[in-house]
Amino acid sequence: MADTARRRDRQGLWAALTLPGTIWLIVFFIVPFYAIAAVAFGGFDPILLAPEPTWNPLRWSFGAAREVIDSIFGGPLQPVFLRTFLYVGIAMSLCFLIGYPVAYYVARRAGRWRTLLLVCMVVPFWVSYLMRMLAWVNLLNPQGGWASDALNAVGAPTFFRWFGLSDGSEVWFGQPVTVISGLVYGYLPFFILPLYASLDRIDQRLLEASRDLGASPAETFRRVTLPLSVPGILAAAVITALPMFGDYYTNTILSGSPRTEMIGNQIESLTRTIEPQRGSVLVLVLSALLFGLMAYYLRITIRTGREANEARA
Amino acid sequence: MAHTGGFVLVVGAGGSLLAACGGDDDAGDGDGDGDDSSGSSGTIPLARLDAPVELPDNDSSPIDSGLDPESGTLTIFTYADYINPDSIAAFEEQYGVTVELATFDTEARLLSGLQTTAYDLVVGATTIGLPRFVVGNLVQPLNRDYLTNFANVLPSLQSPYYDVGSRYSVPYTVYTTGLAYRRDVIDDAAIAATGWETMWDPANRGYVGIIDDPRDALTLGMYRLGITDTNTDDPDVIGQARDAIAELITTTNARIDILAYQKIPEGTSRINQAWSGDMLAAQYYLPEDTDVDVLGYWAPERTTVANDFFVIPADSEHPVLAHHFIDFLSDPDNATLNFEWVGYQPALADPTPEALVTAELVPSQLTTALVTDEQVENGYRLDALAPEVQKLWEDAFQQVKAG
Repeated sequence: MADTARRRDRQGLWAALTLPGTIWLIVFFIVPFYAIAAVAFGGFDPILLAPEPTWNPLRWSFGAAREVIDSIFGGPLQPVFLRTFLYVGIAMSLCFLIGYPVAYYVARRAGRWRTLLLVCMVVPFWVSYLMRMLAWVNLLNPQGGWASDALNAVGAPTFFRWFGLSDGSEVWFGQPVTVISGLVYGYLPFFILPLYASLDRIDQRLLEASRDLGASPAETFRRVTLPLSVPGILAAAVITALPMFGDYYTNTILSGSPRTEMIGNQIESLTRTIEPQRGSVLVLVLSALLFGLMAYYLRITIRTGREANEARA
Repeated sequence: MAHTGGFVLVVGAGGSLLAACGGDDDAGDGDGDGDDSSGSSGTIPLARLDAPVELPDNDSSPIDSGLDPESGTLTIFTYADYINPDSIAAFEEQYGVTVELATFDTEARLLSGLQTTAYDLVVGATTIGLPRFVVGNLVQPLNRDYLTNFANVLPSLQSPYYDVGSRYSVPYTVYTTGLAYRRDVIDDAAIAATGWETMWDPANRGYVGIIDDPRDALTLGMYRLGITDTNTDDPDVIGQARDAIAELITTTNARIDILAYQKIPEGTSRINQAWSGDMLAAQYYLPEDTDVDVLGYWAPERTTVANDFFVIPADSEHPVLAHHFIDFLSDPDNATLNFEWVGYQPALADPTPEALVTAELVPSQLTTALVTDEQVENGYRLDALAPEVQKLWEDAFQQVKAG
């Protein structure tokens, strides 16, 4: 009896420990999210041009939602969505191609330089994202910006025009390649760090076993390291893709051209219009998309964890 | 009292109608059914230059005369960099108070800010928001007894068409919308010859900018087409303007923002649709090795004219002090000091445009950016629209921005 009571008390303690996190989640996620829904499906004051949130879901109206959905499928928002997916897809691929070798080298090959390299990866966080982007405005200035001059000297505009990421102009502002590069530059450290942590955790004995069984270094990488780092890749992808999809200031600062407009920019614009409900609807649509991405990540992570446990058993 | 007229948009929960009180018919058909779930009701007077409006009484009353200014902190809601810090310091010293600034970046943000926070004074309201502030009980009538410098306001704005009798507002700055350009790339004579069409010149591809505002941006398209009904409710006209701006973007990869005052001086833009005040301020953003002569501004004789103004929120806790601040900045010397930093021309008779040039506050080639009282009287105005008409403009602009 005493054991049962003690066990119950201990369970209560564990439950109590989750309380701060639960309150945090309710106050800073669920309530604001519900407020966005109340605005998205609520009314509008035509005199003050202000949204009137409808808190009772039974009284929600879906006129603005219909308008936004129609616009996404065949309307003006369609190119914005396609463009956003394209830019984020390319940016993520570049993050992988650049970030994986870096994370791999630091985790497995850097030796005594590892700490220094890790510090170097964290250093960008010391400067605000906004400041780093504004620095690029100067570097890309067509009037003597160093990066602009260097890129133009090697014929980069023509190179990127082949891929449809530039119109061939020597002005880098307003070009798709500039926005994509800005995203990669801004979010690459967020990609490398979780990937590094994942690669660093791979059991060295597994790699040794692979070599002992006759696998070449390349084969060991392909058949052991890479599969074991998939959860790390996914974690890095989720951590970087989520903010990239909603990013609007990278685009605003480095482009400002409608030709590179992304979903985040449209949300920002729509909240300034006479019907800000449409901006809120767009937030919900984007959240739903990102939730799908997150759910996929969780599914893979859970499955990988289960397989690892089974292998251990 | 001047005659009043214009249109009154009546919006109600169950329906709406537009009651014409005289004047023209370009204020929109105004059925006002922007959303059937609205619980608001009231009237929004839609003033037009040729159909002035006396704004109605609201729930607030003007403060009594003869009161001493309050002590403490005057909280001003305004655009960023829109009041000279030296002017604020001088006011603080003269009245023994402190001034705090809170900023907004669009009229929509101003409107929402006024509904949620008690500010003492707004600097930068426009004709688009004013009738809504009044009908929504967000501002209070002014007491002219405290405004000893009111006689210095530009004659054409002493009883403006949007607020006949200046019951709720006092003009602050005045400006036109035109084209800012780099004179080392675009010739003065060439832009004078080609006018608005210069924006569409593919030679400037990558170096073109449009104001990030539906009304201003689409009006540029209208001017190119020779249309001057800047408050139109005609979807075809708005559609034509949208197509013209879309063509501009295709031809020049124009960027949409409100940074002409930075981009023209730094050379990242060669030609921008811009407010004249931004160009007068641009001289302070020039790189060290760039001569002020590179800055140019062109606007036709008749173009979009606007004036921002002061209003005092209904729930101001320092309304007397707010009146004194308005009066302070309407004084010729204080207005000149303020102009030195802000760059937007005071909507006052003194200092005159000539005085600003003589004081070397305006480079000689930028006198085109100064506004005369005659221009104010004859300018095209961007006025408040019925909700469904405003939505037409905004939707057209969103389509352009979506690329």
